[in-house]
Amino acid sequence: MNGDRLKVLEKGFLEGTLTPEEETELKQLVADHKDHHLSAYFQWTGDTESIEVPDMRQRINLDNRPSAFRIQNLIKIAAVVLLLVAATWLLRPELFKTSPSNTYSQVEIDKSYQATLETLTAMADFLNESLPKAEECMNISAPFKELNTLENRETQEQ
Amino acid sequence: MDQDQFWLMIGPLNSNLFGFALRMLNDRPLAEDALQDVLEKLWKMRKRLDSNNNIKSFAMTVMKNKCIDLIRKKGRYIESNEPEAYMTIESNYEHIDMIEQLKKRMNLLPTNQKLIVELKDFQGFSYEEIEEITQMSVNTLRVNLSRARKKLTEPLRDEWR
Repeated sequence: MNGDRLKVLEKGFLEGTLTPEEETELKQLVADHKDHHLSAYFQWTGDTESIEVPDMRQRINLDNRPSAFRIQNLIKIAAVVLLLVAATWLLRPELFKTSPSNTYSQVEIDKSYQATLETLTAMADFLNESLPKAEECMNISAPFKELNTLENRETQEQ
Repeated sequence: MDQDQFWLMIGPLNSNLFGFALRMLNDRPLAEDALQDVLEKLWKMRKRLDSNNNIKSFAMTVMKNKCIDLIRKKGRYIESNEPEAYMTIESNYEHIDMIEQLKKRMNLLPTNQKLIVELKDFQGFSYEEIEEITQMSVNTLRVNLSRARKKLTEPLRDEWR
């Protein structure tokens, strides 16, 4: 009787059609028949003790802060970027030279405007002061003076 | 949820999650990394854990996804239609432990079948729960489980005769 029941349950087990209760019954029957070939299978699948589970509570940090592993990675990435920038600076320094800017600040424009005004004022003063003197100099200049004298003489002789 | 509450909830599942990862990946350091990643992910999703009434199923879904990703990355995903390499294992049961033979055969199963055996026979999930975890229909699950169980246990029966 037991043997027939065992065969029926074994067939159902292989077909995957047993209910949980029937499966428990099969396991009990197989346990009674130690030489049954499914004995090793049930022993294997039922063994949950032999695996040594690592203590994850000691191993992982469940804080909301970034883990040390992530921080280490960030430091590594920053170091690599720094190294690349330094290497580029050494090998291609021209890349780091900034070209003169084409735009001028308001302060620069104001300074330039002031300097222009001062120059113009100086030039105007110079002209105002020097022009009458120049005229004066022209009137008394030796060659012209002599020329005037000569002209006067010629007219007198005539 | 604070850390203590989280560990109180997840702690009892640690051995299930790690056993699953270890058998699926067959690589202890990789399984430890997978468990760490999954726990960190579950911590980030702790608000959803509060409202979930089947935490084991939820955690196992996250672990299943992680393991399948790793298996694919390692190029170890075995499609169902690949030649049945498990047949080439020597049936030398006189000298090799039967459980070792089962482990070897398990590792040569198509990944989907291995996943279903793991969830049904090792973790004890119902078909409905496995359907939710794997997104496969109950009928597909039954067919694959049947094939996998036959591949794993029939050589043992032949040997016992």
